[in-house]
Amino acid sequence: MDHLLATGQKRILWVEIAVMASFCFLPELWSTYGAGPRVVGDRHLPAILFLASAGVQVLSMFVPAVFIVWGSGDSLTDFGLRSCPFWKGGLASLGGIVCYLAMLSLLAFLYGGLGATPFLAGRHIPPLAYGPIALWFAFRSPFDEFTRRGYLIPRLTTVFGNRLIAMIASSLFSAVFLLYLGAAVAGTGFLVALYLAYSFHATKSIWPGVVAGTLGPMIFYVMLIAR
Amino acid sequence: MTIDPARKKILGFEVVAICFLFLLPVTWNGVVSYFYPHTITLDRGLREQMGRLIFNVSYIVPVLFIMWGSGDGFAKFGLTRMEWWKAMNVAILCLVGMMLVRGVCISFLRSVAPDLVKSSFLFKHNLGRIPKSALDGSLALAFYFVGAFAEELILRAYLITRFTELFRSKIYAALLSSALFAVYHCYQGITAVFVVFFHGLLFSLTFLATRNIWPSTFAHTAYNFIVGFLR
Repeated sequence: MDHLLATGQKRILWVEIAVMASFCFLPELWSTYGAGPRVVGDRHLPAILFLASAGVQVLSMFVPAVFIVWGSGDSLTDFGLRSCPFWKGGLASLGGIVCYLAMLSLLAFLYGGLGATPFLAGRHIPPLAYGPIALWFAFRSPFDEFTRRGYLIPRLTTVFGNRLIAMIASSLFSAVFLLYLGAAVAGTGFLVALYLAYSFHATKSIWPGVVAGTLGPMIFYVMLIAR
Repeated sequence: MTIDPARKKILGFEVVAICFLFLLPVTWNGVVSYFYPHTITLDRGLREQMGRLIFNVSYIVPVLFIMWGSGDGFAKFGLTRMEWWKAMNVAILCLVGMMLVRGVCISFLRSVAPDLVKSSFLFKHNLGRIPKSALDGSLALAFYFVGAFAEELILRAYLITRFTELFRSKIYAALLSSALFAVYHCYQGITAVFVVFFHGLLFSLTFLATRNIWPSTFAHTAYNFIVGFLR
């Protein structure tokens, strides 16, 4: 029935997607490519402030995004803000974590070691910094899952009339954020995003993706410290 | 005339969303930069200028969308056409008022707390700079305009309209909006907060008198241009 949407309604949805992109994706994408962060995030700041800045940045996008989605008149549960059966969610999360670790191992293999991967090469991360970095993922995951999967997939499904295309488009979009680290990282990012899109489709909830997006990188950093 | 509780709830959520979108990050930036001045970028390259433009657009677009989605119409928020000569005359009047306010505030503070004024970031550093190329200059000018428009749109057009509806008082609305405007300028020092608060009141007065966003936007752009480029 999605493809029966009137042209006017479709146009409004496109405008809504563009608006969401203008404040959730565009500034972040611009920051990623070297223009500096929207919220002050200097490396010389104390770790707690750096972390708080990250939290402020996420909240400044998350709250208006939820408001816009809520204001559209659709239920927030349609966008993945709902619970799912524990076993189903747990299984999907586990799959996501395995997916993360498999992709990171693949990257390590491609670049000849974890230390040579583009996001670690030439960087010295003191062991104490791993805690804040891991926490950062916990901050980010709900926002990323809500905007890139929870919001984008149902909306793109409605405007394209095809869920698969929506899932691929949302995953491609997630990969664009990683392009600055090279094609290999973006490619693996695309595959992880595709899995998360499938897990969202299967569970109708963003929480398995949130758990995977938090625990996957955390386990990766624990492995790095252990190394 | 009382406001319907259901509408009040929706407006409250809407105001909170806009505050999270704009006021939370800029106030956080202001406070952190006050304590850690090295985080302020004084010499901005083209990429940073473009970035600042994009950040401002990222505030303007959702606010316009939320205004439109609220069903109140843009005219209610002062986004209407105005005869250009009228807008310019009011803007010039507002600009003269801003210069006077700046002079009076600084003179007053100098007489009361001279050390405070001397140590103010506003007087130790120039936030603007001479453009390095035509493109750089155009981008800086565009940034001054877009930045001023974003602030006027959110703090005056949106917040004053909504606060007036929620608090049933234009005075409270103007005072609160000006206080919020002043707080996130704290990275420029206490002197600047003082000056900016009164500038906020002047902009609010201009907005409430004309019920139009353009005079205060033009005055704001011109003021930023003057203190940035010509100082």
